[in-house]
Amino acid sequence: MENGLPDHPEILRQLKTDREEALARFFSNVQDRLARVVAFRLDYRLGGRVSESDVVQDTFVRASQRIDSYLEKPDMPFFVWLRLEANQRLHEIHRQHFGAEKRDVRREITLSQQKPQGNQTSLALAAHLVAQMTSASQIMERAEQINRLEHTLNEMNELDREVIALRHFEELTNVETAEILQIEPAAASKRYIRALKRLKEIMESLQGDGSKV
Amino acid sequence: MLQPDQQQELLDEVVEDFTARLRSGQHPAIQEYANQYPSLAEDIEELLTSVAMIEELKKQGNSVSDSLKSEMKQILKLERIGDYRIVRELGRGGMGIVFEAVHESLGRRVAIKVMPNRKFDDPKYLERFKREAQAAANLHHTNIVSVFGIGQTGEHHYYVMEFVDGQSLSSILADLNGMNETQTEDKKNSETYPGPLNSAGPTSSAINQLNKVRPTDLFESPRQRFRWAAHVGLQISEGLAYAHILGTLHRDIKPSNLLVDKNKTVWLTDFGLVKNISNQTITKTGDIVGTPQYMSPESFEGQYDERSETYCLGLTLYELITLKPAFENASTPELIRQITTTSPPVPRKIDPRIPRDLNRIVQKAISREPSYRYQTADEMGDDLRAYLEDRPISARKISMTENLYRWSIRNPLSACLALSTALMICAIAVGATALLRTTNQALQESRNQADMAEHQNRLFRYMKGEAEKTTNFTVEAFDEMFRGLVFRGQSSSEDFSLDGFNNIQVSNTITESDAEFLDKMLQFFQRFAENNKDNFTLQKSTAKSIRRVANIYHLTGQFDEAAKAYEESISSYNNLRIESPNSVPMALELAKTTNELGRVIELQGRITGRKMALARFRKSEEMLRNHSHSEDPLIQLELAKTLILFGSPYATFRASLPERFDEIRQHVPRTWFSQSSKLASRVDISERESAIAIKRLREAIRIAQRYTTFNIDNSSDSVAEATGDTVAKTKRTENSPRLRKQELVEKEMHAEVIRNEAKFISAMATTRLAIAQLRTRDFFTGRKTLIAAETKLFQLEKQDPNNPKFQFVLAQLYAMPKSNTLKAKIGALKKSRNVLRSMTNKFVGNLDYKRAYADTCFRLGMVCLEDNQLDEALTNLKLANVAFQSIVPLTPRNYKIQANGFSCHLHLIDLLLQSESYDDAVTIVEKSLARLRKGKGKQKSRPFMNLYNRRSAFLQFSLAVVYEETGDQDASDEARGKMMDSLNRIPTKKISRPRNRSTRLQLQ
Repeated sequence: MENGLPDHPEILRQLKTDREEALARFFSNVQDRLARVVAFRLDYRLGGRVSESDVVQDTFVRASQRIDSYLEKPDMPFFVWLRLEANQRLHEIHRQHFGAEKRDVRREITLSQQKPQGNQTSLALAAHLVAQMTSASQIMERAEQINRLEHTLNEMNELDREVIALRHFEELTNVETAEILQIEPAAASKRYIRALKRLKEIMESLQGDGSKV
Repeated sequence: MLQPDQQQELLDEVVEDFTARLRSGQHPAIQEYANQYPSLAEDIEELLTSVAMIEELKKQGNSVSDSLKSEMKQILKLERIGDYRIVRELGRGGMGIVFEAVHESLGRRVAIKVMPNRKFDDPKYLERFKREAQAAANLHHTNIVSVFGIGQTGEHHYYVMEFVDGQSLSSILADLNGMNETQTEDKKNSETYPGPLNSAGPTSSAINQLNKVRPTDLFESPRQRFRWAAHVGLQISEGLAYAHILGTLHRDIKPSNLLVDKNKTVWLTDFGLVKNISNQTITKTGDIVGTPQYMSPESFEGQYDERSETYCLGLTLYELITLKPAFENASTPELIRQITTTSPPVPRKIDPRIPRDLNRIVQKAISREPSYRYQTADEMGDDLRAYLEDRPISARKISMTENLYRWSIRNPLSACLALSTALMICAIAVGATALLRTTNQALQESRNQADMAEHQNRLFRYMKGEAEKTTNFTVEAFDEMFRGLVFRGQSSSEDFSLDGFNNIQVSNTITESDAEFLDKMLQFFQRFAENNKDNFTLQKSTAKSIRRVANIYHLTGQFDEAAKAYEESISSYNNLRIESPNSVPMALELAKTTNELGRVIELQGRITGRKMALARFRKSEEMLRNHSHSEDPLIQLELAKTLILFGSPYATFRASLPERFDEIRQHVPRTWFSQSSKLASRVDISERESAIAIKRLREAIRIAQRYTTFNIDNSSDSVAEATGDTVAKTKRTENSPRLRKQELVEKEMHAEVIRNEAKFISAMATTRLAIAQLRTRDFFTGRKTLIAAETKLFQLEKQDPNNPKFQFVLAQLYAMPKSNTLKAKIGALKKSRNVLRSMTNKFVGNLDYKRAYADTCFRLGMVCLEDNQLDEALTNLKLANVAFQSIVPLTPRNYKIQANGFSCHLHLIDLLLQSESYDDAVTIVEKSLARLRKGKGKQKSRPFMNLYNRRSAFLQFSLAVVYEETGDQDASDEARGKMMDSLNRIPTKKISRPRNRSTRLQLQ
């Protein structure tokens, strides 16, 4: 499979026969993808304070503690599960650093049954679109750019925005994306196309803004 | 034609294929896809452009850190660089990896910093790096890590430094903070380059040296730690001062760049090298800079000079003494906002054990505005040295006006915020009970900033919604807070005009945090007065506000400003009195303000001050007597207070002047007698004055005594009204039993306040009476009064044991001899001196106590001299001299302190001459001359210059005598010459002197 993982039943079979080793093996196969997820979701404001590899490592520890409960009820693809665990860990880290203020905002879309709270993704998106941290003297400026972009992104539909994030920054497939958002793959695809168009408009307006991106 | 659904699916497939190829490093052409599906060409073009853009952006960000990571891994594999054999990794920072290495041909240990090649992808930066390295290599100083050379190995540039066997300050700080709990700056930096996932734990934290200096070895107590911190700061400032002279800036002073070795020597490392390069390159490649935590505010605007370095040194010191970074726990933009717009908490607020002087040094160093900082590293070093040697430092507390100015200019927003908090506090305070205890609590709460934001909005609404009624109410509430702060809830009596026996300010209870709070209150009152000066209905509040402004200035020793504000307030009250001439509360306010003005005038210390002050007291006495038929207790008590003011020690002090003139006559050239005879003629006046004073004090005691048993039955409505208590006033109109009960409670409380007030005034008046009687040699009645005063004061002290006020008064009382013998005088003064000494030690910053202590030592010394106890005299004069030296520079405009200080000085010199300690005498005279010159500054006024010349003449004369005694005739002649110069500069009219110069030299 393109994930570098065998298919779902095979994964489960291997995990059941020799748990620890199989988990380590699978994990190392998807480690880079997870790192990407973490890098994207890790609040840019923590840049330099928390490294993504730490989070990935923590995720592994977390996964090996919880693999039993996953195997009892493996109702989602293995990678989606790992991604969920990584996000849980991120959630904890963000809470540590930003305190109560962020508690709700950090919620993963599929975790909360309520309407997803978009601005987290927008923030992450914005931070990435405005490229990596520049020199200290430009950080202020950059923060401003991020703010502006985040603002624009916020005007997008939350699901659309999430689709872009999942497909491009976490580099998930359409099927995985659909799984995570708990919608049909066709619907996910439709949203993706629509979101891309919208995003292009935004990017163009931003670039016209003084080409600081 | 395709169905929309199929179209969608197809598009997604195209996009997915395109994305996958992009990610695998290919460069697929968009046109290719468009040609393949002509019907979707438009969509495809649009979507794929978008995708390409996103992926490109994403790659940019990732590739930077990816390539950096791989390069760092490469560097870590190095085993040898040229002639250097790498031993181990010492640490990792944002700009490279530091190794310990051995220079094999020389066999010496060195440290090598290897930097990733991509830092130099522009040759310009390499050139710059080389230039900086040359500059750094020229620095040779005990506290600077030497640079031996630079070089290149393969792709990597490196530089070789002296190896320091020690530990970075940041890791010492981490140790002090209980290990790993606090994120040190080192750690943050190192995490910019995370190691491989499966590596065995973090390889880099602080510089892991083998011979770690255990912080616990460095100091056993916090006090030692503070001294150590100052010592560290001193060494750094010396290193910096040296480098600055050579024109090199360090550019990145922070704990992780400062090493401490086993001998506790501090080393500055990475001089100028790293930051220069990093600033440039990082902009270009978009790398993560560690954190701006240790950057100076102006550096965000591209300004950087020596003062930025003293700032950064200040931040480091801040962290060493508080164990907390000045700025922390925030995102980078937030940090930048904090650094450029806020100031970190005062160190002493974090840890009250931090010595005041050290606190001030740090505060000055980290002023946001560069011109308020130490202007050179040398200057800062001087202050640190002074602190370590227990000498006075130059950094004085930033004056209130300066503070205010900066505050209002820089923080218009936070000014509003502070106002709203304050309003919130009044709401709480008044809403609860309007009692001072609550107010004090509320004050505490106000410092808890967390509540602030929450209430802010509500408060603004509250403020807008209510009109003048609320505004008046607000001023009342503020007033209440102010009194709560100033008088610590001990009694609501406003004894601004009765602060003990001394003539300086009531600085006793004002701490630095209070001063800060007062700043904000001042702002409020000023603003209120300014905004409402034309609103007649608010005039009463306005007048009160201005009075409070004056009070705050008064409290903080800014007497000129205080006097001005008092005058303004008085004129407001006078306007109001035209409308209602019979209002008792108004008369009371006016009398109080007038008395306060009188006190401030005295405190200004001008020669005519007392006379001017007396005029004010007379005015308020007259006014109060006009109202005294009302038997209103508050009016009566204020009258008693005013009467006491007439009998201040100053009035009775003059009575003992003739005695002092005899003393002075012995030492002063005859030519200056005109002055003394003028003063001597005043003695008659002062005797009359003291007789009047004694009469008034007796009356004051009588009045006060009457109210010490004051109770509810006597209390009239006017009491409530007079106290200005709006609560009582409004409640009186209602008649429900519950309210009446409350009213009774309130009345009882007022009665209690009045009784306490009366007791205090009575004790005060009795003490002053005792002093007056003893001074006028009426020892029989004086002793009796003294015992009565002592009893009263003891009672008060028992009631309120934590109030230093009573002790202070007692000390003054003890100083009075109970009979006219030298033995009695010495005994009395010693007793007083001992009490004052312990108070001075307990309240270190208190000028009042220190001054009283200085005066008492001086007097004791003089009396001992009279009694021929030369050793004792010398000891006490020396003590006095030291004490005066520390207060004289702080009170440049206080004539009396200056005069006493100088006089003490002269006597000390004289005594040293008598006991033939010529060396000591010369040292002291020379120091004194230097100080005199320094004190002169830019002052040019005639009276000042006359005084200056007279003093310097006298000092030169002393020098001449010393040199004559030691047989150095040339030096003696030179000193005499200078003395003549000084004398000649004094205008002839002012001082009558014989025409013949030679006679003037016959001095003794």
